[in-house]
Amino acid sequence: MNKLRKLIIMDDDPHYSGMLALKLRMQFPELMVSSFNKADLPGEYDIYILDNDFFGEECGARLAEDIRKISPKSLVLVLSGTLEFSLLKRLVNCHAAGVFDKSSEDDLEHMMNLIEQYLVRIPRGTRGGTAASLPNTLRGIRELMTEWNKRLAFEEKRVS
Amino acid sequence: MCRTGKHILVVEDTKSVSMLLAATLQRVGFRVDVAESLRAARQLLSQKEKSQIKYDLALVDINLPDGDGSELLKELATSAWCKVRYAVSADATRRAKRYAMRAGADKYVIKPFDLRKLVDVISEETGLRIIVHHSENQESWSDEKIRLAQSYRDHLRFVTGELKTPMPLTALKSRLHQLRGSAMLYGFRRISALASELSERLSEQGPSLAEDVRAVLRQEICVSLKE
Repeated sequence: MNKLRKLIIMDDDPHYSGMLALKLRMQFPELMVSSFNKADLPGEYDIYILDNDFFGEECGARLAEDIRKISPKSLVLVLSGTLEFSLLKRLVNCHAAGVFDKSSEDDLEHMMNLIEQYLVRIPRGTRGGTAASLPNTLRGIRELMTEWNKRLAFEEKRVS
Repeated sequence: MCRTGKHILVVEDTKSVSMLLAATLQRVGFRVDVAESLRAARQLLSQKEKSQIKYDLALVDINLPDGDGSELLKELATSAWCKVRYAVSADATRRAKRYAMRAGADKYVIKPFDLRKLVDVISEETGLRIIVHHSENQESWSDEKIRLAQSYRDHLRFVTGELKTPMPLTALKSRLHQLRGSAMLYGFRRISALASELSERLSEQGPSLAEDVRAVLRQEICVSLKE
């Protein structure tokens, strides 16, 4: 039997998660979308979208690391407004697939594309399947590094 | 639709406050009944008593048009129809708080309050870890979009009120971070861009800029809401 894939949005802002959930459901009707307003583990899901900022506390990296322990093959996407090397390093280490700026429409589109790629690549009912295989992991890290390099170059230009 | 099995009574005569409270609590999955006076609250309680439904929590405004909310708190405290009672008032004096607590309030909430924190406290109080399963919602996508947009506009109105008074720096930064994302999703691009810019400036220049940040952000939200 085909199982619905499960996605969870972890964000302290119910308005953001409500509208993002609607957009995700419209684009991916095959997904079961939930949201969670606490910075602790909600259980096992196929896709996690994590906000790095919960009521002023930065906990995206800790959450991503905790998720990897219970759900090693899931797709983990992080929303953050800051560029910090320590955050990037921890996210790369726990195989997060990308870091996105909440206020950027391009980043939202990029995030949707990653979810689509994941859904197309992974057969239903395998709860992550080969997502954490070596080629996928390397591809994820490469995409993450490329994205951050682009952003660092942009920031550099903006500052100078 | 109640997704948490938790039932809340809001007794509040200011319509904008009661609507916003009810919308936010419903949004996270509570079932909410609203009464705008003592009389309406007593009628609701009498109906619930007949149908054997108990409230998990009641939020009672102290200053109601037809009497003192403390009277209702006393009645709720001596009956078995409400487990937890919060008094809500703009009076921040110790005397007012003591009076409400003696009447049977478990907590005293001072207006204007941080809606997000209040919902969080209510969730903790009712033993709720809120996971909303959006796919269970039966309304159409367009209806849901309209409802969410309306709720967001109410939220922005609430934020303009919140920005009138000083707030801790972390709360202001967190509010800016939220607005960056949510305003973009709801099509308020100017608010989102401004929140990003103010967030950076606040990080660079520190708390001395907080008052200006609140004023500028508040003005932009007011202008955007009028458009």
